[in-house]
Amino acid sequence: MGELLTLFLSTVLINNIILSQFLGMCPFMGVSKNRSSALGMGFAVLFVIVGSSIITYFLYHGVLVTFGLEYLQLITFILVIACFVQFTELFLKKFSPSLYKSLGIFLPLITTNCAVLAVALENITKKYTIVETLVNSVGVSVGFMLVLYIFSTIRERLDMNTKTPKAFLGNPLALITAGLMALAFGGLAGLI
Amino acid sequence: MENKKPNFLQSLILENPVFVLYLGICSILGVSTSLDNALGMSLLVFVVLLFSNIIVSLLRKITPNEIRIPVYIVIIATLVSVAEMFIKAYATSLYTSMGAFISLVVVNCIILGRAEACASKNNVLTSIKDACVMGAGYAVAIFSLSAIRQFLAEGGLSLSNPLNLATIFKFTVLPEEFAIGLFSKPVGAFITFGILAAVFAAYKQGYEAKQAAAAKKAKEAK
Amino acid sequence: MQAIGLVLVLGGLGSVYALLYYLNKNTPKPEGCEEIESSCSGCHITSCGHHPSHNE
Repeated sequence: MGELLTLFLSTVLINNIILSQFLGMCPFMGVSKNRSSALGMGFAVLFVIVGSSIITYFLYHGVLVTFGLEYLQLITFILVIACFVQFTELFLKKFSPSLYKSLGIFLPLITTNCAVLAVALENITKKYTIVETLVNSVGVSVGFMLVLYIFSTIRERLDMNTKTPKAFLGNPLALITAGLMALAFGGLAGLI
Repeated sequence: MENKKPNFLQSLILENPVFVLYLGICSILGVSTSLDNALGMSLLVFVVLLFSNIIVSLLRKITPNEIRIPVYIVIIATLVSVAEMFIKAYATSLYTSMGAFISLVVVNCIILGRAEACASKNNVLTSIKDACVMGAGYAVAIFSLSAIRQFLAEGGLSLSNPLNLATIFKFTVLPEEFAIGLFSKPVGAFITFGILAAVFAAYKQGYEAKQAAAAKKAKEAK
Repeated sequence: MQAIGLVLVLGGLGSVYALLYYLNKNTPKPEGCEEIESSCSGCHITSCGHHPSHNE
Protein backbone atom coordinates (compact mmCIF):
# COMPACT_ATOMS: atom_id res chain seq x y z
CA MET A 1 0.00 0.00 0.00
CA GLY A 2 2.82 2.39 0.87
CA GLU A 3 4.52 1.64 -2.41
CA LEU A 4 1.38 2.41 -4.34
CA LEU A 5 1.03 5.71 -2.52
CA THR A 6 4.65 6.56 -3.32
CA LEU A 7 4.01 5.68 -6.96
CA PHE A 8 0.92 7.87 -7.02
CA LEU A 9 2.64 10.85 -5.41
CA SER A 10 5.66 10.58 -7.65
CA THR A 11 3.56 10.52 -10.82
CA VAL A 12 1.40 13.45 -9.70
CA LEU A 13 3.96 15.78 -8.17
CA ILE A 14 7.55 14.75 -8.74
CA ASN A 15 7.74 13.24 -12.21
CA ASN A 16 4.81 15.30 -13.35
CA ILE A 17 3.90 14.39 -16.89
CA ILE A 18 3.96 17.96 -18.19
CA LEU A 19 6.53 19.71 -16.05
CA SER A 20 9.18 17.02 -15.81
CA GLN A 21 8.57 14.59 -18.63
CA PHE A 22 7.39 17.18 -21.19
CA LEU A 23 4.58 14.97 -22.48
CA GLY A 24 1.12 16.22 -23.35
CA MET A 25 2.34 19.69 -24.27
CA CYS A 26 0.29 20.25 -27.43
CA PRO A 27 -3.06 20.74 -25.69
CA PHE A 28 -1.22 22.57 -22.93
CA MET A 29 -0.67 25.48 -25.29
CA GLY A 30 -4.05 25.41 -27.00
CA VAL A 31 -6.57 24.48 -24.33
CA SER A 32 -5.28 26.22 -21.24
CA LYS A 33 -6.80 29.60 -21.91
CA ASN A 34 -9.71 29.32 -19.51
CA ARG A 35 -10.49 27.22 -16.49
CA SER A 36 -13.55 25.34 -17.69
CA SER A 37 -11.89 24.03 -20.83
CA ALA A 38 -8.84 23.04 -18.77
CA LEU A 39 -11.04 20.98 -16.45
CA GLY A 40 -12.87 19.45 -19.40
CA MET A 41 -9.62 18.49 -21.06
CA GLY A 42 -8.32 17.05 -17.79
CA PHE A 43 -11.31 14.77 -17.32
CA ALA A 44 -11.26 13.64 -20.93
CA VAL A 45 -7.56 12.79 -20.62
CA LEU A 46 -8.22 10.93 -17.35
CA PHE A 47 -10.83 8.74 -18.97
CA VAL A 48 -8.80 8.01 -22.10
CA ILE A 49 -5.52 7.30 -20.29
CA VAL A 50 -7.04 4.94 -17.72
CA GLY A 51 -9.18 3.10 -20.26
CA SER A 52 -6.50 2.71 -22.88
CA SER A 53 -3.84 1.71 -20.33
CA ILE A 54 -6.00 -1.15 -19.12
CA ILE A 55 -6.86 -2.32 -22.63
CA THR A 56 -3.28 -2.11 -23.90
CA TYR A 57 -2.01 -3.92 -20.79
CA PHE A 58 -4.29 -6.87 -21.41
CA LEU A 59 -3.65 -6.79 -25.16
CA TYR A 60 0.10 -6.89 -24.65
CA HIS A 61 0.28 -9.56 -21.99
CA GLY A 62 -2.56 -11.62 -23.37
CA VAL A 63 -2.22 -11.47 -27.13
CA LEU A 64 1.11 -10.03 -28.22
CA VAL A 65 3.25 -12.07 -25.86
CA THR A 66 1.51 -15.37 -26.65
CA PHE A 67 1.97 -14.86 -30.37
CA GLY A 68 5.51 -13.56 -29.97
CA LEU A 69 4.63 -10.27 -31.62
CA GLU A 70 6.16 -7.81 -29.13
CA TYR A 71 7.64 -5.72 -31.92
CA LEU A 72 4.12 -4.75 -32.98
CA GLN A 73 3.49 -2.98 -29.72
CA LEU A 74 3.77 0.56 -31.08
CA ILE A 75 1.32 -0.03 -33.93
CA THR A 76 -1.20 -1.93 -31.85
CA PHE A 77 -1.10 0.54 -28.97
CA ILE A 78 -1.74 3.53 -31.18
CA LEU A 79 -4.57 1.71 -32.95
CA VAL A 80 -6.11 0.77 -29.62
CA ILE A 81 -5.94 4.38 -28.45
CA ALA A 82 -7.59 5.58 -31.67
CA CYS A 83 -10.35 2.95 -31.32
CA PHE A 84 -10.91 3.84 -27.69
CA VAL A 85 -11.27 7.53 -28.49
CA GLN A 86 -13.80 6.78 -31.24
CA PHE A 87 -15.69 4.51 -28.84
CA THR A 88 -15.72 7.18 -26.14
CA GLU A 89 -17.05 9.78 -28.55
CA LEU A 90 -19.76 7.39 -29.74
CA PHE A 91 -20.71 6.50 -26.17
CA LEU A 92 -20.93 10.13 -25.09
CA LYS A 93 -22.97 11.15 -28.11
CA LYS A 94 -25.54 8.45 -27.45
CA PHE A 95 -25.75 8.36 -23.67
CA SER A 96 -24.64 11.68 -22.27
CA PRO A 97 -25.07 14.72 -24.55
CA SER A 98 -24.24 17.11 -21.71
CA LEU A 99 -20.87 15.46 -21.16
CA TYR A 100 -20.31 15.48 -24.92
CA LYS A 101 -20.96 19.20 -24.92
CA SER A 102 -18.23 19.83 -22.36
CA LEU A 103 -15.67 17.16 -23.29
CA GLY A 104 -16.48 16.33 -26.87
CA ILE A 105 -14.18 18.69 -28.70
CA PHE A 106 -11.13 17.52 -26.81
CA LEU A 107 -11.47 13.84 -27.58
CA PRO A 108 -10.04 13.69 -31.11
CA LEU A 109 -7.10 15.78 -29.91
CA ILE A 110 -6.24 13.15 -27.31
CA THR A 111 -5.63 10.50 -29.98
CA THR A 112 -2.31 12.08 -30.89
CA ASN A 113 -1.44 13.20 -27.38
CA CYS A 114 2.05 12.06 -26.39
CA ALA A 115 1.00 11.42 -22.82
CA VAL A 116 -1.47 8.60 -23.58
CA LEU A 117 0.99 6.62 -25.70
CA ALA A 118 3.82 7.29 -23.26
CA VAL A 119 1.85 5.94 -20.29
CA ALA A 120 0.81 2.83 -22.24
CA LEU A 121 4.43 2.14 -23.23
CA GLU A 122 5.76 2.92 -19.74
CA ASN A 123 3.45 0.36 -18.16
CA ILE A 124 5.08 -2.27 -20.35
CA THR A 125 8.71 -1.22 -20.11
CA LYS A 126 8.58 -0.81 -16.36
CA LYS A 127 6.81 -4.15 -16.02
CA TYR A 128 4.01 -2.96 -13.76
CA THR A 129 1.30 -5.24 -12.42
CA ILE A 130 -2.31 -4.41 -13.22
CA VAL A 131 -2.78 -2.52 -9.96
CA GLU A 132 0.37 -0.50 -10.49
CA THR A 133 -0.77 0.22 -14.04
CA LEU A 134 -4.03 1.57 -12.70
CA VAL A 135 -2.32 3.74 -10.10
CA ASN A 136 0.21 5.02 -12.64
CA SER A 137 -2.50 5.95 -15.16
CA VAL A 138 -4.68 7.70 -12.60
CA GLY A 139 -1.66 9.48 -11.16
CA VAL A 140 -0.49 10.73 -14.54
CA SER A 141 -3.94 12.06 -15.43
CA VAL A 142 -4.39 13.74 -12.04
CA GLY A 143 -0.98 15.35 -12.43
CA PHE A 144 -1.90 16.52 -15.93
CA MET A 145 -5.22 17.95 -14.76
CA LEU A 146 -3.62 19.68 -11.76
CA VAL A 147 -0.95 21.43 -13.80
CA LEU A 148 -3.35 22.33 -16.59
CA TYR A 149 -5.82 23.86 -14.11
CA ILE A 150 -3.18 25.87 -12.25
CA PHE A 151 -1.74 27.03 -15.54
CA SER A 152 -5.13 28.12 -16.86
CA THR A 153 -5.81 30.18 -13.74
CA ILE A 154 -2.49 31.96 -14.24
CA ARG A 155 -2.96 32.35 -17.97
CA GLU A 156 -6.34 34.02 -17.62
CA ARG A 157 -4.55 36.99 -16.12
CA LEU A 158 -1.24 36.80 -17.92
CA ASP A 159 -2.12 38.74 -21.02
CA MET A 160 -3.79 41.58 -19.17
CA ASN A 161 -0.45 43.18 -18.34
CA THR A 162 0.09 46.01 -20.77
CA LYS A 163 3.81 46.32 -20.18
CA THR A 164 4.75 42.94 -21.71
CA PRO A 165 6.92 43.33 -24.82
CA LYS A 166 4.86 42.56 -27.91
CA ALA A 167 7.01 39.62 -28.95
CA PHE A 168 6.42 37.85 -25.66
CA LEU A 169 2.62 38.05 -25.68
CA GLY A 170 0.75 34.79 -25.80
CA ASN A 171 2.66 31.54 -25.97
CA PRO A 172 6.26 32.64 -25.22
CA LEU A 173 5.26 34.17 -21.91
CA ALA A 174 3.13 31.12 -21.14
CA LEU A 175 6.15 28.90 -21.69
CA ILE A 176 8.32 30.93 -19.36
CA THR A 177 5.57 30.71 -16.74
CA ALA A 178 5.55 26.95 -17.24
CA GLY A 179 9.28 26.99 -16.58
CA LEU A 180 8.76 28.73 -13.26
CA MET A 181 6.08 26.18 -12.38
CA ALA A 182 8.55 23.40 -13.24
CA LEU A 183 11.03 24.99 -10.84
CA ALA A 184 8.38 25.06 -8.12
CA PHE A 185 7.34 21.45 -8.68
CA GLY A 186 10.99 20.39 -8.79
CA GLY A 187 11.26 21.43 -5.18
CA LEU A 188 8.70 18.79 -4.25
CA ALA A 189 11.21 16.05 -5.02
CA GLY A 190 12.16 16.03 -1.37
CA LEU A 191 8.71 14.71 -0.49
CA ILE A 192 9.66 11.08 -1.01
CA MET B 1 -0.49 40.11 -54.64
CA GLU B 2 1.82 42.94 -53.74
CA ASN B 3 3.66 41.03 -51.03
CA LYS B 4 6.68 39.01 -52.04
CA LYS B 5 6.66 35.40 -50.95
CA PRO B 6 9.40 34.74 -48.40
CA ASN B 7 12.43 32.87 -49.66
CA PHE B 8 13.56 29.55 -48.20
CA LEU B 9 15.62 31.01 -45.35
CA GLN B 10 12.90 33.43 -44.36
CA SER B 11 10.20 30.77 -44.44
CA LEU B 12 12.37 28.61 -42.18
CA ILE B 13 11.90 31.27 -39.53
CA LEU B 14 8.46 32.65 -40.34
CA GLU B 15 6.69 29.31 -40.70
CA ASN B 16 8.90 27.26 -38.41
CA PRO B 17 6.79 24.29 -37.28
CA VAL B 18 8.19 24.39 -33.75
CA PHE B 19 8.54 28.00 -32.74
CA VAL B 20 5.68 29.49 -34.72
CA LEU B 21 3.10 26.71 -35.06
CA TYR B 22 4.02 25.03 -31.74
CA LEU B 23 3.89 21.51 -33.16
CA GLY B 24 6.05 18.68 -31.90
CA ILE B 25 7.02 20.51 -28.71
CA CYS B 26 7.09 17.40 -26.50
CA SER B 27 10.01 15.77 -28.27
CA ILE B 28 12.05 18.96 -28.59
CA LEU B 29 11.83 19.94 -24.94
CA GLY B 30 12.62 16.45 -23.74
CA VAL B 31 15.54 15.67 -25.97
CA SER B 32 17.38 18.96 -26.48
CA THR B 33 19.95 18.55 -23.71
CA SER B 34 22.94 18.08 -26.00
CA LEU B 35 23.93 18.43 -29.63
CA ASP B 36 24.28 14.65 -30.03
CA ASN B 37 20.64 14.21 -29.12
CA ALA B 38 19.66 17.06 -31.42
CA LEU B 39 21.49 15.44 -34.32
CA GLY B 40 19.88 12.06 -33.66
CA MET B 41 16.38 13.40 -33.18
CA SER B 42 16.40 15.71 -36.19
CA LEU B 43 17.71 12.91 -38.42
CA LEU B 44 15.05 10.56 -37.10
CA VAL B 45 12.24 13.05 -37.63
CA PHE B 46 13.52 13.96 -41.08
CA VAL B 47 13.81 10.35 -42.25
CA VAL B 48 10.38 9.38 -40.89
CA LEU B 49 8.79 12.54 -42.33
CA LEU B 50 10.37 11.98 -45.74
CA PHE B 51 9.37 8.34 -46.03
CA SER B 52 5.90 8.88 -44.64
CA ASN B 53 5.29 11.74 -47.08
CA ILE B 54 6.47 9.56 -49.96
CA ILE B 55 4.35 6.56 -48.98
CA VAL B 56 1.24 8.60 -48.18
CA SER B 57 1.59 10.48 -51.45
CA LEU B 58 1.97 7.24 -53.41
CA LEU B 59 -1.09 5.77 -51.74
CA ARG B 60 -3.22 8.85 -51.84
CA LYS B 61 -5.47 7.72 -54.67
CA ILE B 62 -6.42 4.42 -53.08
CA THR B 63 -6.90 5.25 -49.39
CA PRO B 64 -10.59 5.68 -48.60
CA ASN B 65 -11.29 9.13 -47.22
CA GLU B 66 -12.95 7.95 -44.01
CA ILE B 67 -10.16 5.86 -42.55
CA ARG B 68 -7.23 7.90 -43.81
CA ILE B 69 -6.05 9.07 -40.39
CA PRO B 70 -5.55 5.57 -38.91
CA VAL B 71 -3.95 4.46 -42.19
CA TYR B 72 -1.43 7.30 -41.90
CA ILE B 73 -0.90 6.46 -38.24
CA VAL B 74 -0.16 2.82 -39.07
CA ILE B 75 2.29 3.84 -41.80
CA ILE B 76 4.08 6.24 -39.48
CA ALA B 77 4.08 3.70 -36.63
CA THR B 78 5.65 1.05 -38.86
CA LEU B 79 8.35 3.49 -39.97
CA VAL B 80 9.08 4.51 -36.40
CA SER B 81 9.24 0.88 -35.21
CA VAL B 82 11.77 0.09 -37.93
CA ALA B 83 13.77 3.23 -37.15
CA GLU B 84 13.75 2.39 -33.44
CA MET B 85 15.18 -1.05 -34.15
CA PHE B 86 17.90 0.51 -36.32
CA ILE B 87 18.84 3.00 -33.61
CA LYS B 88 18.85 0.29 -30.96
CA ALA B 89 21.22 -1.78 -33.05
CA TYR B 90 23.56 0.78 -34.56
CA ALA B 91 23.54 3.80 -32.25
CA THR B 92 22.96 2.41 -28.77
CA SER B 93 24.18 5.54 -27.00
CA LEU B 94 21.46 7.55 -28.72
CA TYR B 95 18.91 4.90 -27.74
CA THR B 96 19.74 5.28 -24.05
CA SER B 97 19.86 9.06 -24.08
CA MET B 98 16.68 9.64 -26.09
CA GLY B 99 14.76 6.83 -24.42
CA ALA B 100 11.02 6.84 -24.82
CA PHE B 101 11.02 9.88 -27.09
CA ILE B 102 11.99 7.74 -30.08
CA SER B 103 8.69 5.86 -29.90
CA LEU B 104 6.82 9.11 -29.34
CA VAL B 105 7.81 10.37 -32.78
CA VAL B 106 4.71 8.43 -33.90
CA VAL B 107 2.41 11.04 -32.41
CA ASN B 108 4.58 13.97 -33.37
CA CYS B 109 2.09 16.51 -34.66
CA ILE B 110 4.43 17.65 -37.44
CA ILE B 111 4.62 14.28 -39.21
CA LEU B 112 0.93 13.46 -39.04
CA GLY B 113 0.00 17.06 -39.84
CA ARG B 114 2.16 17.17 -42.98
CA ALA B 115 0.88 13.78 -44.12
CA GLU B 116 -2.65 15.06 -43.70
CA ALA B 117 -2.20 18.57 -45.08
CA CYS B 118 0.30 18.12 -47.88
CA ALA B 119 1.18 14.55 -48.82
CA SER B 120 -2.40 13.36 -49.14
CA LYS B 121 -3.17 16.03 -51.71
CA ASN B 122 -0.02 16.44 -53.79
CA ASN B 123 2.27 14.31 -55.89
CA VAL B 124 5.47 12.71 -54.68
CA LEU B 125 7.86 15.46 -55.71
CA THR B 126 5.95 18.21 -53.90
CA SER B 127 5.68 15.99 -50.83
CA ILE B 128 9.43 15.39 -50.80
CA LYS B 129 10.08 19.12 -51.07
CA ASP B 130 7.64 19.79 -48.23
CA ALA B 131 9.29 17.14 -46.07
CA CYS B 132 12.67 18.76 -46.66
CA VAL B 133 11.40 22.20 -45.71
CA MET B 134 9.64 21.01 -42.56
CA GLY B 135 12.56 18.79 -41.61
CA ALA B 136 14.95 21.72 -42.04
CA GLY B 137 12.71 23.91 -39.87
CA TYR B 138 12.63 21.26 -37.15
CA ALA B 139 16.41 20.82 -37.33
CA VAL B 140 16.99 24.58 -37.02
CA ALA B 141 14.71 24.65 -33.98
CA ILE B 142 16.19 21.69 -32.15
CA PHE B 143 19.81 22.59 -32.91
CA SER B 144 19.39 26.17 -31.71
CA LEU B 145 17.64 25.07 -28.51
CA SER B 146 20.17 22.31 -27.77
CA ALA B 147 23.17 24.51 -28.52
CA ILE B 148 21.98 27.20 -26.11
CA ARG B 149 21.07 24.72 -23.39
CA GLN B 150 24.26 22.73 -23.64
CA PHE B 151 26.44 25.81 -23.82
CA LEU B 152 24.91 27.31 -20.71
CA ALA B 153 24.73 24.05 -18.80
CA GLU B 154 28.20 22.69 -19.54
CA GLY B 155 30.17 25.73 -20.57
CA GLY B 156 30.92 24.41 -24.05
CA LEU B 157 29.65 22.37 -26.95
CA SER B 158 30.44 18.86 -28.07
CA LEU B 159 29.28 16.67 -30.92
CA SER B 160 30.09 13.06 -31.55
CA ASN B 161 29.27 10.63 -34.31
CA PRO B 162 26.40 8.45 -33.04
CA LEU B 163 27.48 5.40 -35.00
CA ASN B 164 30.98 4.93 -33.61
CA LEU B 165 31.11 7.51 -30.82
CA ALA B 166 34.04 9.36 -32.39
CA THR B 167 34.12 12.96 -31.24
CA ILE B 168 33.60 15.43 -34.07
CA PHE B 169 34.30 18.49 -32.01
CA LYS B 170 34.40 19.40 -28.37
CA PHE B 171 35.30 22.74 -26.89
CA THR B 172 34.74 24.40 -23.56
CA VAL B 173 34.50 28.16 -23.34
CA LEU B 174 33.15 28.96 -19.91
CA PRO B 175 34.98 27.57 -16.89
CA GLU B 176 33.27 25.01 -14.68
CA GLU B 177 32.15 27.49 -12.02
CA PHE B 178 30.14 29.58 -14.45
CA ALA B 179 28.12 26.73 -15.93
CA ILE B 180 24.45 27.00 -14.96
CA GLY B 181 23.28 23.45 -14.37
CA LEU B 182 19.68 24.57 -14.35
CA PHE B 183 19.57 24.60 -18.14
CA SER B 184 19.79 20.86 -18.43
CA LYS B 185 16.69 20.58 -16.22
CA PRO B 186 13.05 21.11 -17.29
CA VAL B 187 13.11 24.72 -16.03
CA GLY B 188 15.85 25.66 -18.44
CA ALA B 189 14.07 23.92 -21.29
CA PHE B 190 10.86 25.88 -20.84
CA ILE B 191 12.53 29.23 -20.30
CA THR B 192 14.94 28.89 -23.25
CA PHE B 193 12.11 27.72 -25.47
CA GLY B 194 9.96 30.66 -24.41
CA ILE B 195 12.71 33.17 -25.11
CA LEU B 196 13.53 31.63 -28.49
CA ALA B 197 9.82 31.60 -29.37
CA ALA B 198 9.70 35.31 -28.50
CA VAL B 199 12.71 35.94 -30.76
CA PHE B 200 10.98 34.19 -33.65
CA ALA B 201 7.75 36.08 -32.95
CA ALA B 202 9.66 39.37 -32.92
CA TYR B 203 11.20 38.55 -36.31
CA LYS B 204 7.78 37.66 -37.66
CA GLN B 205 6.25 40.88 -36.37
CA GLY B 206 9.09 42.91 -37.90
CA TYR B 207 8.63 41.13 -41.21
CA GLU B 208 4.88 41.71 -41.22
CA ALA B 209 5.34 45.38 -40.33
CA LYS B 210 7.71 45.76 -43.28
CA GLN B 211 5.22 44.03 -45.58
CA ALA B 212 2.40 46.29 -44.38
CA ALA B 213 4.52 49.40 -44.90
CA ALA B 214 5.50 48.26 -48.40
CA ALA B 215 1.87 47.52 -49.28
CA LYS B 216 0.78 50.91 -48.00
CA LYS B 217 3.48 52.63 -50.04
CA ALA B 218 2.43 50.71 -53.13
CA LYS B 219 -1.19 51.75 -52.60
CA GLU B 220 -0.27 55.41 -52.11
CA ALA B 221 1.90 55.36 -55.21
CA LYS B 222 -1.06 54.29 -57.38
CA MET C 1 1.91 -19.01 -36.19
CA GLN C 2 3.34 -15.52 -36.17
CA ALA C 3 1.84 -14.66 -39.51
CA ILE C 4 -1.62 -15.72 -38.37
CA GLY C 5 -1.23 -13.66 -35.22
CA LEU C 6 -0.06 -10.65 -37.25
CA VAL C 7 -3.06 -10.79 -39.57
CA LEU C 8 -5.48 -11.40 -36.70
CA VAL C 9 -4.22 -8.57 -34.51
CA LEU C 10 -3.79 -5.90 -37.16
CA GLY C 11 -6.84 -6.93 -39.16
CA GLY C 12 -8.95 -7.16 -36.03
CA LEU C 13 -7.93 -3.76 -34.73
CA GLY C 14 -8.32 -2.17 -38.15
CA SER C 15 -11.81 -3.54 -38.60
CA VAL C 16 -12.80 -2.54 -35.05
CA TYR C 17 -11.64 0.98 -35.82
CA ALA C 18 -13.46 1.07 -39.16
CA LEU C 19 -16.66 -0.13 -37.49
CA LEU C 20 -16.45 2.37 -34.65
CA TYR C 21 -15.63 5.22 -37.04
CA TYR C 22 -18.59 4.31 -39.22
CA LEU C 23 -20.94 4.19 -36.24
CA ASN C 24 -19.52 7.41 -34.90
CA LYS C 25 -19.92 9.22 -38.20
CA ASN C 26 -23.54 8.19 -38.51
CA THR C 27 -24.48 9.24 -34.99
CA PRO C 28 -25.60 12.85 -35.16
CA LYS C 29 -24.28 15.28 -32.62
CA PRO C 30 -26.76 16.08 -29.87
CA GLU C 31 -28.55 19.43 -30.14
CA GLY C 32 -26.62 22.45 -28.99
CA CYS C 33 -23.28 20.92 -29.88
CA GLU C 34 -22.81 22.36 -33.34
CA GLU C 35 -21.21 25.55 -32.10
CA ILE C 36 -18.52 24.07 -29.88
CA GLU C 37 -15.88 24.03 -32.58
CA SER C 38 -15.66 27.80 -32.58
CA SER C 39 -13.50 27.66 -29.45
CA CYS C 40 -10.80 25.75 -31.35
CA SER C 41 -9.68 28.79 -33.32
CA GLY C 42 -6.03 29.11 -34.23
CA CYS C 43 -5.11 25.51 -33.50
CA HIS C 44 -2.59 24.12 -35.97
CA ILE C 45 -3.01 20.46 -35.07
CA THR C 46 -4.58 19.24 -38.31
CA SER C 47 -4.80 15.63 -37.19
CA CYS C 48 -7.63 16.52 -34.80
CA GLY C 49 -11.01 15.40 -36.09
CA HIS C 50 -12.64 18.78 -35.49
CA HIS C 51 -10.15 20.84 -37.49
CA PRO C 52 -11.92 23.04 -40.06
CA SER C 53 -9.82 21.64 -42.89
CA HIS C 54 -11.83 18.41 -42.60
CA ASN C 55 -15.20 19.97 -43.35
CA GLU C 56 -14.90 20.01 -47.14
